[in-house]
Amino acid sequence: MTDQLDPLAEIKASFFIECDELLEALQDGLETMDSPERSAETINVVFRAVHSIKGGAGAFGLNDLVNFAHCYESVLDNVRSGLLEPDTDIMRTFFQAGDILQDLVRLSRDELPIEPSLTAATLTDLEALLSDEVEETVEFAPLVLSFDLDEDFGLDDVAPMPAQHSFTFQASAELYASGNEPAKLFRALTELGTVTCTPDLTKLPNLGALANAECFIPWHISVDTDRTFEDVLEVFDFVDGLCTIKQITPQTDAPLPLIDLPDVASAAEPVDPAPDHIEEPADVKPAEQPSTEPDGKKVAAPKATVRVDVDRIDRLVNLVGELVINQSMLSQSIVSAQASNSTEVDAGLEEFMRLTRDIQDSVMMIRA
Amino acid sequence: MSLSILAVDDSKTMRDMIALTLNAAGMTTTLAEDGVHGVETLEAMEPPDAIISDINMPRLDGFGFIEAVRAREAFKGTPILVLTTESGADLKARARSAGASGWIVKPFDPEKLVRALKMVAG
Repeated sequence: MTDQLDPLAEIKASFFIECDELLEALQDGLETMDSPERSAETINVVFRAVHSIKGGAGAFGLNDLVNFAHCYESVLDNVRSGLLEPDTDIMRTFFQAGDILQDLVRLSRDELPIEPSLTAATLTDLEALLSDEVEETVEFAPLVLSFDLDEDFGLDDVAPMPAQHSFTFQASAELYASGNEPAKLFRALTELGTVTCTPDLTKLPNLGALANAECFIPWHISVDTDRTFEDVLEVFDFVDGLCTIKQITPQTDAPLPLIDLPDVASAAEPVDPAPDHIEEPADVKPAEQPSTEPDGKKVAAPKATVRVDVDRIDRLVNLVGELVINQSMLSQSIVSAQASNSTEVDAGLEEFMRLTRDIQDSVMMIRA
Repeated sequence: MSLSILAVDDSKTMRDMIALTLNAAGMTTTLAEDGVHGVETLEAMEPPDAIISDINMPRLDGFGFIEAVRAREAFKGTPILVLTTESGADLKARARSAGASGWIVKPFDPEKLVRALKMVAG
């Protein structure tokens, strides 16, 4: 370990000291919860103790600790939100979980192995309290701090493959209202490669129909970079929900096809103000969305919608995220194993990557 | 010019992590332990270029803190990034409605955090 990592080691040591304080607060809180003095704030204290342990453990890649704390925290959150009323049996489970959390902290601090049998029974009890929720395993990558932020953060040991990522970007009015500015997002993209931004002025209504709080101009953006499209998307992560991004996937090696623009007459027609989030059917090619009928009248095409529990969508998004990660790992494994000499493997992998991207884009649009 | 950042988090580990990351990127970091401390610190310091806030905190949580910041005329335009382990759409919507500018999930990627701060405050 180099001297550069010492600050991180110090923080890790400090984390375990903080854990002792949090475990003490947890124990005190559980005792109060089990008494007539119980209040909403007591439950908050207990929740925050477990939550903080989970957050810190995640930063150091202590996944056993994270997974147990995550499950415990989820049950406590149900208590906090009034979905679960803790009775004697539930309180017993909470105390047991507190003890196990303490053991996990100690084993993690001493860098000792953690047997699954330590947590299995209590995890089952906790999961049973999560009603029909499905608990997924949480995998946190350890935080790797680079102390020379001028260095490239990419994977230095993987040969980069130059690529062009093209997508459309549509800001919502909320993006501006929350103090964000698309130009700064675009500028950040230039750190990844060469960026071309082209405004799509066909969505601009006539002057009279302009509303100063609405955003009418989508952007077509191309980034020439050796990073992945996921890296490009990361730039927009923190404004998730404030803008809509749709990847334009090239079908061949030929240059990206230009998007068909409406003719001058229809472009001059005012269009409906842009919604905050573009809801589009599965076929998302902009060129194939007629905005007018042959006689020039606007079409108010009804959109079929369906109500879906947000948690289910989040789970779907998480699963797709795992699919993308697995696809990347598989690609790297094939490259490492030099198994890609076969044209069939190459073609299959390419198709797999394309399908994964399409699925990811489609799923991300559901939540956008 | 070095960016000045106020980071509000009840976890000392997280505060240390944030300070280490931002200081290494040449930013000046001021730390606060919860929402109430955050508001007090904000009022006592030169206006920061951006604010980072956790959600689950004692005394005053992240939502309340963001609302309190936005209620002050001088900080209506200060970018606020939420930094939390949560990623639920409902919580994001609540933070956005309180006045947050963006959302980053812990454990955070140092590069992403620095880039986001440069984007909103640079």
